[in-house]
Amino acid sequence: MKQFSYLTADSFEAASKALTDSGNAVVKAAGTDLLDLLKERIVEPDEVVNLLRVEQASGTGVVSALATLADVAADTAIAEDYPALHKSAAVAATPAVRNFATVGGNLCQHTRCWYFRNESFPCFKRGSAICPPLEKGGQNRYNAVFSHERCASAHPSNLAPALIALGAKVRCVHPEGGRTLSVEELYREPRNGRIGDTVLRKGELIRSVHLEPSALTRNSTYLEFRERHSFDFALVSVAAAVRLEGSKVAEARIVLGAVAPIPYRAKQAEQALTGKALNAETAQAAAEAALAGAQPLSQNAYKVPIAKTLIRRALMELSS
Amino acid sequence: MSKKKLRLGFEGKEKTVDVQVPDGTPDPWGTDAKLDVVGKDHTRVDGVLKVTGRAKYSYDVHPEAMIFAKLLRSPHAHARVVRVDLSRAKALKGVLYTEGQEGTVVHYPGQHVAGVAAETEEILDDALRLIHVEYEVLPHVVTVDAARAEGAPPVLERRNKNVFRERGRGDGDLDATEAAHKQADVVLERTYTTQIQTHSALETHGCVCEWKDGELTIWASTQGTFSVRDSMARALDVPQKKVRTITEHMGGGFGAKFGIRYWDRFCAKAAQMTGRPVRYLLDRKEEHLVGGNRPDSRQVCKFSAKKDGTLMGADVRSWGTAGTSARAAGVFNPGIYKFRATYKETYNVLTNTTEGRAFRAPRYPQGVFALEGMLDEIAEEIGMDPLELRKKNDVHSVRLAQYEVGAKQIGWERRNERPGSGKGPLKRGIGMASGLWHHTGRRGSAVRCRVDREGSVTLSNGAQDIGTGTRTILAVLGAEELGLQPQDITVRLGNTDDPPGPASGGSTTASTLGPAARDAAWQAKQVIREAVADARGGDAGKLDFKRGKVVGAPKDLSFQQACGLLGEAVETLGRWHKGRNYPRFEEKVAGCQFAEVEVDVETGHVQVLKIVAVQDCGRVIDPLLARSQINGGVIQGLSYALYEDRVMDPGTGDMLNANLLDYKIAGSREMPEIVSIPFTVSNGINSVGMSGLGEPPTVPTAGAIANAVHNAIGARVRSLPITPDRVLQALGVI
Repeated sequence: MKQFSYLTADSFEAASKALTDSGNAVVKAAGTDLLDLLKERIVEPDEVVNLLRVEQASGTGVVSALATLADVAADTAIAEDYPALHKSAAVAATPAVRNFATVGGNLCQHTRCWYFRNESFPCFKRGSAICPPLEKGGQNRYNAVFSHERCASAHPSNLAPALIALGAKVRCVHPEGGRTLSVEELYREPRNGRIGDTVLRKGELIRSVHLEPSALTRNSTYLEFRERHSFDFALVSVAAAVRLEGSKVAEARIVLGAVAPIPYRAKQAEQALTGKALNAETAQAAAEAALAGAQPLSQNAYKVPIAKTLIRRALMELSS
Repeated sequence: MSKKKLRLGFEGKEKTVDVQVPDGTPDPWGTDAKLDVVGKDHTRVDGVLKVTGRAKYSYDVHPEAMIFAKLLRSPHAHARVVRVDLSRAKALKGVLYTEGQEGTVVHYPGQHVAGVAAETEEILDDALRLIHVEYEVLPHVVTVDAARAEGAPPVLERRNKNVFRERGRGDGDLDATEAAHKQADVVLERTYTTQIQTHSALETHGCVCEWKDGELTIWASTQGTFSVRDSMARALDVPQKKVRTITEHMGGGFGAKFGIRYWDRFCAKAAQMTGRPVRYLLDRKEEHLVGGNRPDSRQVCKFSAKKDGTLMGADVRSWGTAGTSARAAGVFNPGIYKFRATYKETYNVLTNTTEGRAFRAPRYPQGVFALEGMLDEIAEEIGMDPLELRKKNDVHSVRLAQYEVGAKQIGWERRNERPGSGKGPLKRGIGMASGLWHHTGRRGSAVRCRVDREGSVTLSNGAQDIGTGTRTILAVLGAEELGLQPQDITVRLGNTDDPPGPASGGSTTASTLGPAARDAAWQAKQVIREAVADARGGDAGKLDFKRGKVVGAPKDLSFQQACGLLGEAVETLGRWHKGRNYPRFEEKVAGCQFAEVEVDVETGHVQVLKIVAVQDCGRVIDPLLARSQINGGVIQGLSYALYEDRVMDPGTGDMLNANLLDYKIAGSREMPEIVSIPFTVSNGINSVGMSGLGEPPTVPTAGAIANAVHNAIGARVRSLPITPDRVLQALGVI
């Protein structure tokens, strides 16, 4: 990796200011994603700003951006009120990674696309005109099946689909003023020459995640499918939350991970379910609706039936 | 020579043969040998060193003032190196040595084009990026299909084609095979494919080199200490006596670590030029790119059989690539079973990828996967139990016995009579496959046994223990002869100043050094016997060494007391004696494995629940160690069956998954219950009756798992690895 100077910030504000003022500084929380990018020279900052020493946000319904995935997984209140969040944190990566990786880092991590992660390949996000997985002969088994017009990266976050399904918000810090965004608003389609997937401005940092418990959030779940249970990123993940009134679905939120460049909200599936009884038949219909618009690439058609299976299984888990 | 009776075989199947035992060597052990130490569980003599981190690997060697070396590698699969500008790298502070390969042509991604040695790894990394290389990019092919296509660019300039037929003695007879097909009731033609597997040893390739007074010491991660010494001496044009290799402990080798490679040579050169010790151990990306790999295969199989299960013809045409090497990409298929006639055509296909290397049972796992799949397909076609079909066509007496052991252990009767008939989305199935390997052991090695007057015993040899437990095996055999326990024996391995030993290839190390160690300890025992008889009276030939004591003299002595009667320390040199007069019980080593899997037919996920591995390795010296070795073979075979796959990008010609996240190796949660059953056979191959165990247990695993998947889901996946994608395709879901 290229040599850089290292600054440990004592507050979010100071970190944000340092990042805003610097030419190409990057922020580091646990560094689980950043270290790989530095080693591969996907990012070559002159300065790295360490966040791990700042004071963390706390309170009811507040999850610090610097909480570890293990912290989240161990929180019994989260498990009770937000099962989808609990499960997404509890199954992520490996125990070693969960003990260190943070909530904010999980939301802001970069795609695992193997073209993106190796500087010797062209990549749309890194400024190339093409996205190799979309080209003839491109190796796209792990890439997106939705929204891949210009970039076929698959979004790797476990927490993002869960938090979107739960209607969570993030509180952000920036020298020009803080703001609150829904997690859904946090993401935008890939841009040429921009490696990140969020709307965060230069120097803007997520301080905390905010949740409100409800019948919807309590009846939520998260499932992911991966090739290797020991250590892998999900091939497909699904977060679902359903509010039942009597036997009917009053509200449903279904979000898929690893199928599009950013978390993919399956609105057609949500609509297909709303007002219906939740049973094997309607769950299957919702799964079909969710994947109806999928456009698999040459090597990833298998993601479609897996996604349908996960949606159906997740909904059936929420039906009783 | 003296004439002796030797009992060979295993429980329930034994025979007695007459053998001529050379003078001055121990009598061979038969099934009736009374042994105190051999055949009992012993923990590894170096186990504590390893788990406490005190064992010294090449990575742990840091001579004072050591610097670092690395090669710059081509991102192109095929290119002419027009210009290499080293000036900016040379100007960087801390850079001590550089070289460039201007004017060469690179034929695979990762081929070196320049090299640097520098004070720190960080400076090295920066220096390599300051080297400017101008390439003239040439057309490339990185897959067998692309290389075989009409109009494909030639991979090597000096050869005008990419596909080369390999002929061998076992190619068989096409006319006879077609005639056999004609007489058969069923003829099946199927295509099986296997992927490229990289060696991915935990300890990467490389070494640390230090010159002192004109002599070179190489701490190498190698399977062949002597081949490293000899090839380095040749490469640098210095006498072998000026070069020493040290490999005290080894972090894994599966066939790609023999002799020196270019980076070792560069390391030694940089050490020579800078006068500093230099370290070059490959990083993980380099290891994947250039370390080595098992060639892939496409096997077009045409097999036939009679309705009663008699195998008739087997015709196999195979294509595979060992990268820029036009050899060794063949498969072991057909084999194991008796066919009326067989025929094979083997094609080695050149591609612009790094050279294939021998990989744990070269040619076997890939061939057996297809062969055993075909056997299952025939069984299904004629409505016969797959195990019965194998028994009917197998003539190996050991394997026939192993079938019973394995079938009982897995519960063969629990398998789905109709494949795929289990209820619900999670379907279980059971399958099996067989294995075969050669008896091993070679002449040309010697083990030194030194016993001093305090009774300390040291066995030494210059070869390496690559993690298989050779050190422990020698201790067990020495202890047996001298009436001691393994921990009483010091075993020194991995320094070429000690007597010559084999390279660890073909499962030969333990089976070469083991009998030599026994021979050396036995000779030392004769000297001690004489000393005791001289001093205390009695018949030297009747003195017995048991449980730390020497008995049979007028008064019992401890081993230490007996050694105190020696005039001076005794040193003997034991050898491996070819058992010319010892007929082998069977010509080959047999094994079979049974797998039980659970497949989620809605996601394609395969979980292996249990593997039963029954494996012959001749006499089992240490069953605990043998089970550990079998477990390792099964784990690597499972990983090959379900996960590992080198992925090349056809566009750029570079490797996409040169890391341990995207190149997927099975981890702890992928592991099934493994029941490893060393099946002991007293074999006349040498005085101990032992054979190798490194390679055989990885041969049947993929075939057994694939057959179990078929039994679970009723659809056959004919390509490795068996990914969710391929399972769903086989099921017709996509």
